[in-house]
Amino acid sequence: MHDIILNSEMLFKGLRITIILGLLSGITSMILGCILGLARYSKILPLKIISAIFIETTRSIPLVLYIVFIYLTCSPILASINIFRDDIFGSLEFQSAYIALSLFTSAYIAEIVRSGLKSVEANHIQAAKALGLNVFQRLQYIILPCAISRMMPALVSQFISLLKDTSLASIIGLIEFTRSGELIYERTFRETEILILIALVYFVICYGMSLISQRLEKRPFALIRLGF
Amino acid sequence: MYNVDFSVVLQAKELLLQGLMITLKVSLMSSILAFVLGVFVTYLRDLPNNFYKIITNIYVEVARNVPLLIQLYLIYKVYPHFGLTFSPINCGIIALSLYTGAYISEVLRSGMNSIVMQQKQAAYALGLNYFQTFFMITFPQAIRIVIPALGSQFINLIKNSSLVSFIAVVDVFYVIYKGAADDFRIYEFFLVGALIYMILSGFVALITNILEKKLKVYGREVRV
Amino acid sequence: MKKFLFLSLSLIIFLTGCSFQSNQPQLDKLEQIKQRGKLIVGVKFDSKPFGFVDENNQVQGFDIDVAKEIARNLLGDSNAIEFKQVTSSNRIFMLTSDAVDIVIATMTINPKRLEVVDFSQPYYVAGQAIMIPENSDIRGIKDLNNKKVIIVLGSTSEKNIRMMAPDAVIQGFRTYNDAFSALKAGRGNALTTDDSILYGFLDTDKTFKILPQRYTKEPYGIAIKKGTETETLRMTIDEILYNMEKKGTFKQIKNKWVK
Repeated sequence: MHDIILNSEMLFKGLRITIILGLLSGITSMILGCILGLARYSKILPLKIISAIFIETTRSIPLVLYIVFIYLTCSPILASINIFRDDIFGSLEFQSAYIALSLFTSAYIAEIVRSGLKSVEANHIQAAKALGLNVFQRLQYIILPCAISRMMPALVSQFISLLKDTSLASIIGLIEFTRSGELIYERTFRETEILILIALVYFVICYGMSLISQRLEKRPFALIRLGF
Repeated sequence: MYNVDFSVVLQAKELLLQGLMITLKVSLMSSILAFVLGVFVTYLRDLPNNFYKIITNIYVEVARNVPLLIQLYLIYKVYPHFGLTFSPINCGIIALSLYTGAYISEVLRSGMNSIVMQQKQAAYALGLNYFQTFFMITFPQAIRIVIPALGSQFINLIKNSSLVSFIAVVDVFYVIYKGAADDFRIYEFFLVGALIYMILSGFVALITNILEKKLKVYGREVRV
Repeated sequence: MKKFLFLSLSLIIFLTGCSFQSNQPQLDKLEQIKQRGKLIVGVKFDSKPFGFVDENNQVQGFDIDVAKEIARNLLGDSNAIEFKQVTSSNRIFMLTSDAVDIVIATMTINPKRLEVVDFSQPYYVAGQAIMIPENSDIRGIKDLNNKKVIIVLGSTSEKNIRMMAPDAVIQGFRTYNDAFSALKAGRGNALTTDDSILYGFLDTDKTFKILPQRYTKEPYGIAIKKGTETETLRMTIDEILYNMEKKGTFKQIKNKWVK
């Protein structure tokens, strides 16, 4: 038990990496996902095909395979670019994990965006067209508010999945929360306490976020106040 | 600098086939167990008794919010200290079933909720008890509605099965990783691995599509 | 059906495209290291007594001391060095992707690896041994048939077991710690790898023993990336190792870490 207290600094560092990796990947994948989703939904055929290939391929492959593959493939390229190699954010593992998680999650977000956009009722859009709104006004006042508030629960749940999937980056050696716990019990061989602690922390974080998401869902007016 | 050389993969053909068998076995057994578990949990959830509601909620929330890797390690490394030792394959099957079962129960629950209350009330009025109502009226309808979502859960299960390679189960990912580590042929092995998983997922997607078309309930769609 | 073929075809094209790596002319590696001012070495963090992390979170071990000597001779300061963790599975890759300059990580020199990386002269010779629980009745490698044997992926141990005990059930783990935990938990009947690493585990847990036979000779070498730019580095390191042997530094390091 007191091993945990002695090593708590390492665990906190790992937790920090996990959260930062999750946030960074989340934001990047959100942006990428929106672009991909719009591309998938658009009428330009080549865009549609390329984005479809990427999305379908990424969604059929296990994330571990994706992470390890990107780590092995992109590291030479990243190593030759050679930006801030000194701290952990410049390390190959972090960058590979970031790229892999962002690309992987963006495929799922693209699907969420696509179904969100499709779910806006056709008669609303037609009414907007009849009223003389142009494309951008339609997007701004009718389509986006409706689609975004419908996508919110799925997006939050995808983000929670992302946080859980950061634990897979321990496979390539990134010292995030899971791996920092592993390092401790590799030395002390007291796996039980550390693993239970790791499970508890993940549970608290992810369940907490899902509770927040449920509150938001039940009070759509809160979303309106946030500007949606 | 690098010549793509697939002959190494062909040499490892037997091991790959063996790995594929194991992946299929793990996926199949976990799917069945997860489905049974999901149905069971959904059944318990709607019972009027509060106690079952609390227990099932705890199970579902814990299984959904702890990463699968951690759950797997817990079953493999920690449970033996409390007396429950399983072989690596069984650890994998149990972990996968518990994890996916929670998600399946959520999917089924959303399907159940879309069945109108009046049907249940009519069933009770006709004298059917809870068990009969569940399995003869609501559940069959609910399943037909959520087939696409169920299918995607089974695809996730196949993809998550790759995690059992970390407790020394010789599945597809284990063979791929070993091939890349021992023979230094990274691209070839990973490409083949990706292809295998794509084919497996595609197969499940195909079956889901066929089932959905055959059992489609018109006028009802659940937004998952 | 068409969709799969299309998707798989595009996947193959997409991924084969990635295999074209940029071949920029590289600076001489030794120059690069001197310019950078520090040497980046890949070592094991989990293989006592060659590379491990002690209670103060410092990396220590036989390989680490060798690395420090090399840094002292190359750059004048034995602390102008950065240690990165490698495992048996990824050490070659860390080298070829330039994440580390050299790898000193209980790495056996063998022909298959020589195709992919260069090695210095051997700096230590270990042997493959078998570790079993105290009360086990395994007496030799033939007894491993039909038993569960634990190895680490990427190491040379597996081939030898397959040759000499073809009916053994082999379980491979990614790291030595995973492997030893599995042995401790009873998930396997024996663990086989280099005796040097097994001694390190014996230190932490005396309820195991190592069989006296050694099945192979495992000469450890320092791994260096292949290529013309590493020529001077390799020759310099060989020189340093030769001098270390003459001056008796290796004897000192051996006495410190290996009985």
